[in-house]
Amino acid sequence: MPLSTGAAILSVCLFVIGLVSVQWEVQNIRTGVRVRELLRDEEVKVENLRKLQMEYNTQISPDNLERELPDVFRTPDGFPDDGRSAPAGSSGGQ
Amino acid sequence: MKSQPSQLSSNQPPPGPNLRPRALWFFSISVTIVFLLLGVRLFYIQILAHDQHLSRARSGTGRTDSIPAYPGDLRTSDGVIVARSETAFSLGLDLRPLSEEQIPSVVAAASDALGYSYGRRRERVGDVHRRKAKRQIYANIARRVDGEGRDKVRESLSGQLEPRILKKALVVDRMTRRNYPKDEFLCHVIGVASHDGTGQEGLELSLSPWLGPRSGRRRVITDAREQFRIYSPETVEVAPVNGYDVYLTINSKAQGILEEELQRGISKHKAEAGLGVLMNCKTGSILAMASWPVFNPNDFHRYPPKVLAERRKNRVIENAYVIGSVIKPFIAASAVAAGLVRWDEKIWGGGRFHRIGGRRLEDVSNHGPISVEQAVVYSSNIGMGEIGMKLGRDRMIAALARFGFCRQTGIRLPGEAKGRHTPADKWNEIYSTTSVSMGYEVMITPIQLITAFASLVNGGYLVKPRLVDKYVRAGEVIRNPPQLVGHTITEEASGRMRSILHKIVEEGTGRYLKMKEFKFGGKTGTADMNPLNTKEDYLASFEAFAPLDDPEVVILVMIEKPRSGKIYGGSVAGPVVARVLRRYFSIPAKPEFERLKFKGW
Repeated sequence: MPLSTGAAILSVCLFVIGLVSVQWEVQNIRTGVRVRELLRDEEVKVENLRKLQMEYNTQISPDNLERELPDVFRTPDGFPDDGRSAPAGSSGGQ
Repeated sequence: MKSQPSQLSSNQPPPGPNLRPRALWFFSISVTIVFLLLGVRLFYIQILAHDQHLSRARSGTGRTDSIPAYPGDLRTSDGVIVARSETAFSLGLDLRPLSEEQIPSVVAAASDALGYSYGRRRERVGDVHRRKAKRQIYANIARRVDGEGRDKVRESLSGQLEPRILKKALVVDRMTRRNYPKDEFLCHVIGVASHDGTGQEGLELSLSPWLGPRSGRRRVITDAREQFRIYSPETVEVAPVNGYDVYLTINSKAQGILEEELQRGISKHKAEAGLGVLMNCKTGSILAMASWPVFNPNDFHRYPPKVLAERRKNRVIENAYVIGSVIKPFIAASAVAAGLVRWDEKIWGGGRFHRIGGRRLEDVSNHGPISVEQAVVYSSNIGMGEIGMKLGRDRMIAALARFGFCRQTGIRLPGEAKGRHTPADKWNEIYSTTSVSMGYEVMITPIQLITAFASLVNGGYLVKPRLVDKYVRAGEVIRNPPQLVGHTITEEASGRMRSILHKIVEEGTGRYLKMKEFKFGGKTGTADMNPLNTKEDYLASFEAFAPLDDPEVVILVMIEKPRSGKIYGGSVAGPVVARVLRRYFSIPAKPEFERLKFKGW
């Protein structure tokens, strides 16, 4: 094979390798950008989920439900043991 | 053979100086040397100075991004989130691309987007102006705004600045912000974390090693303007690790009830402060802990220092009180356990006044002859003075120690007080002995008192009060089991003590708290908080256990300085306890009414 033919084949090979390398690099960058977008999306979604969890959690928290009970279920102001002086006059110490 | 040289000579160049082969040789040698030098240089760069050049290259084209990790949540035992971190942003201006004329409009637009008041907006504009005049390059606009706030600012500034300048001028830094979604709820237990996320008060401080996250790091490749970043999963250098979610022993329903009823009791009696604690008497788990006044951890840094000093205090842990009569069951039980008296032994012959070794003791009323048991039921100062004298100094100090008084309980909260009693070398055999029998000359923290009271009714087991139930992270669960720290009285004595405490509610100083539908026991206490006994500042207390047959919880409520005329523990603190127990055990206040109402269902 003449030297010129060999040189031509080598050039074509180098050109193809160059093209593949560039393509590979471009693909790498595209993947990186996509990964970045996905990570950002994930962070936003995680943050939103945490906020929603907190809101929901606050709404259903038993102390809130207890506070919102109808009056008939609660101890009314007229609770019989309220406000009477227990020990005065008939008990020993304080 | 002769013709050959002539043929060769005919192909050779014409005669002259023979420089060409030498030049070629010289050229090829030079090229070889150059390539050799390049090879050596390449070897130096690629092999010997590889790391140095790699780091230089990376510093030029890449940077490190942090991968966020969240601090752990604080949750109640029923899963309610009481503290959680969320992502926030710090917004600032790079002043270099901005002219002085642009600053007022830019800062005003940002302030409006953030909803600042007129005064604050003016202050921000002035501050940024001053910084620009001093040739500073950065000015802060806002800290810890959420993503929505950041987007609003960006949008409002886009109307003021060209996109190219806006990109350079607006500096956004990511951080976390601790959020307390239920505001004042459980505030003294949770505490607060500072802006940089480190705990300052309460569990936020004591649990910071568990709650703290470890942020991750990732190398990213950027262009020269740092506008284009390439991420790749392979470039993660340090993986982020969230903090542990800490599940407390607090029951949110019980906490809500206790806070509400405590506040109601305090406002009804125009008291200055108060506290309450509800505990599982068998495991030491704190089900509810409340202290009043309260603070909002979300606004912790906005309180004036004096106001904050009063509000931030967790009285259950940090205050030691002269507790008064609530100590009487402990002294009587110790005297009986020591074999010095029997429960049914007559200790006082009757009358309102009595002298013990020159000290005059007084009861509120004359109960006639009373036994040791009745001395506790009627809270007789004279009877307890006599019991105390039988016990004596050394046994009394030992009894205090056995119940864990004047010693830190080891609950997982910072700033726990120790309490104290008159030291043995300054102990007056008459005054100190009779005083301690009535709950004076001894200062005890509410957490010590409730822990000791639990042991009195649970069979004599002194358990360590615990606030943390478990630590959870990504499927890993680390439990914090209950811990027994000592024995105080026998099972039999504990059973007797339960019936005595029940009698107090049935016929003693707490008889107005009796409930038909629900049996429980407790002890009232009223103490003069002023060391000079001015009879103005009282501490009204009530400690109780429920249910009677198989005690599940103990509760202590203390109300400081009631000003409505009523001062006794049975009148001021007792109703709060009764209400909390009713609601905690879901005992209807008017059962007949409810039965009627729901009959048709």
